[in-house]
Amino acid sequence: MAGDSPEAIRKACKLYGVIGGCLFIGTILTVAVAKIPWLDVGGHGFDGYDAILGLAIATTKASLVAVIFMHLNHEKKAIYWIFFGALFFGAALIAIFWGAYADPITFDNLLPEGSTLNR
Amino acid sequence: MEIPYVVTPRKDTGLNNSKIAIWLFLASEVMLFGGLFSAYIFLRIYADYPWPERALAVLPGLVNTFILIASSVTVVFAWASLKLRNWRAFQGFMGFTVFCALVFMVLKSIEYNSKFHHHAVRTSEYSSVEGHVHYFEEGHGSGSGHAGGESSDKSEGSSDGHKYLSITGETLEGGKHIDHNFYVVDPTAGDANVTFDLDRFHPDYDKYINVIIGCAGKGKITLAKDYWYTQREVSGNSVKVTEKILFKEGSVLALRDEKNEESVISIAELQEAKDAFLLARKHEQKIRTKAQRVAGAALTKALKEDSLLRGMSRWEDDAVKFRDKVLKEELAKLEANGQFDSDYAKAASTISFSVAKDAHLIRVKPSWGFMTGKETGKDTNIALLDGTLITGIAGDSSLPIAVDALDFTHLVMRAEDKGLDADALIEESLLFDSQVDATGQLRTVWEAHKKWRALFAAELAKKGKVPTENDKYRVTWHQMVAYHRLDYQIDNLGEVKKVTPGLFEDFKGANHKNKEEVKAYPELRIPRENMVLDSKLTPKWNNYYGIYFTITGLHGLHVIGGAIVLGYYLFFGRKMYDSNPDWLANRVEVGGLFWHFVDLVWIFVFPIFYLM
Repeated sequence: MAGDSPEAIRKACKLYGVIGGCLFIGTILTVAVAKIPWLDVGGHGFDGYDAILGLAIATTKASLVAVIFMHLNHEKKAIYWIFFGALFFGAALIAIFWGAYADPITFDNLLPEGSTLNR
Repeated sequence: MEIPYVVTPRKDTGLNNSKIAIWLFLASEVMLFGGLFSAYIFLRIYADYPWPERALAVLPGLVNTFILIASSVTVVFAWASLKLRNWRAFQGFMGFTVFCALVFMVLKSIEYNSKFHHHAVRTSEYSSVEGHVHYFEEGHGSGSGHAGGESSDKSEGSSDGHKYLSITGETLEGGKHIDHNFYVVDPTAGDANVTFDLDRFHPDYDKYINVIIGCAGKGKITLAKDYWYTQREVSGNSVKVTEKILFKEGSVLALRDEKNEESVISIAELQEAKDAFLLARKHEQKIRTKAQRVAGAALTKALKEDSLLRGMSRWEDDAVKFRDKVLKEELAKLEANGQFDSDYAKAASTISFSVAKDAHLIRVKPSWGFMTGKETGKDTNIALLDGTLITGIAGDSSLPIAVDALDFTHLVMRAEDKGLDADALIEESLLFDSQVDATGQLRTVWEAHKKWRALFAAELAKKGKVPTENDKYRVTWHQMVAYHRLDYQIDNLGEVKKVTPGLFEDFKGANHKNKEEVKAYPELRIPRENMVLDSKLTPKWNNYYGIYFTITGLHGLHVIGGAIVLGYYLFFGRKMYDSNPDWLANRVEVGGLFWHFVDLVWIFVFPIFYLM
């Protein structure tokens, strides 16, 4: 909280209500872009554009929860280190997986030339 | 003991300890769920089958999202109420939060339940259907407590002489029903045997034996040939045979409580035979090892000293014969000393029973083992998990299923990989065979769907778009109901849309108990030999359900855990509120942070699993 005075808390409560409303609207929007044909971006049905849009809305919603409800907008330095450290390591773990998939050395090219073995 | 820094902040961090602790915990949670979501991404990207898109009913997920958002707002209001020293308001907001958690879990359990009761089958041609398997009335007329049994076999005249029930509402009233999903051996079609593996079979359960006896009928399973075993006392290296027990050929295999009759082998007696067998084997192995050591040492000595064997390899014929001779002599010596019982070596490790020719069909659940030779009328073996082997002629093991989804997308994917004409393959699909789709309703559904997709493709073409593979090659239950409502006359998209179940009907999913709706679902009998995989919509079916249950299950556990903690503050927080309200407020803030994180995870779960 910016301040623990009753006035500050009452003011913050109003903000929580507004954010709650935004989250509801964001949820409806997520469903709408997936279900309503004229809001369907990209090709018909689910595709990369829908994934990007859907995840963008979800990330916005998640950010609102983290920033406002979890008070990350005015936290102490230690919390930022912990939170962003976790995000960094989480992202690094995913990147390591990607690296494994992008590895040019595969089972196929380890086989001797002319081998009939398949993966 | 006073816990430091639970209300006042530490000087170095500027935070109270509980807050640091919860954030460290949340950091580990971020990485846990991050790992699971990355697993989802990789499973989906590299799936070698069509990944189920938008496979879940949206409304339950949407309602659950609203519930979690609402509870996230109220939990922060509850914290603010404590800060404002308003206990009543705190109770109201926190009570609502906990209530939301309960509603969330109820909806989740309904969703899970529908998956656990929804069956899916993939055929050898990679077509698949989903639906509800016909039910079988459990214990119908049989004392065995399982499907099958004498009177059930004669009760109602279906084609296989067995009673199986349709899945409309009336037949589900009363009694317990199980899926009509069995491996079947038909004793009337040829010799059938049941062999128990004394090493592995587990008579404590009684389950398999009860079922086998219950299916074949009382007195229909008899011992194929004499079997004997010895009861013995083993003490150290010595063994003393106390009793030799003989099961006579023709003795009837009976349930556990029927042991008193002489011509009957009860389950309890089988268990005694197993115990004796295992005890004898343990002892025999020990003694035999000892004798082999003696024989081995004698051979080593002979290879060095014996003029005939000197310089020979241990594995040459004469050396092996020499060792075997010594071994035999050693065992005879041990037997003479009362340390070995050569009778044991003659005892069989299996007990084999014959099934009478006039016995009824033997049926076991596929989850109990594996069947080879699934085609009706062909030789078959059913190996159960405990080593029990049922051999004979396969009966009709086809799966009766009321289909509420038809899916050719996997077939199309495979066909395209091989450069084959997918549409032509679909037209020849075994699912449309008259033996499988006896009424031809599935074909009718498919023809209606082809009309719909042609209209739909034309509509999309106006916008420069094309239908997805799912649109083209998957028929959902919504579409089956809509086509049925239009009597399969598909002339324009508007009419179809008008009668297609909407968001609210989607909430309950395909309803096989509704007498009208169930008519929309074609009833198939899929031959077992054409089934590659059959499963409920669980991780066994595909990785999608694996990752779905992992993430949502773990999330559900978080909801339960969070609700317990918040409920504790609600019901037991008053004392702390009276003595130290700031401490309680800090606790609620920490619990609230966890609750927001639970909401935050769901914010990603909902679009990823329900909308993508």
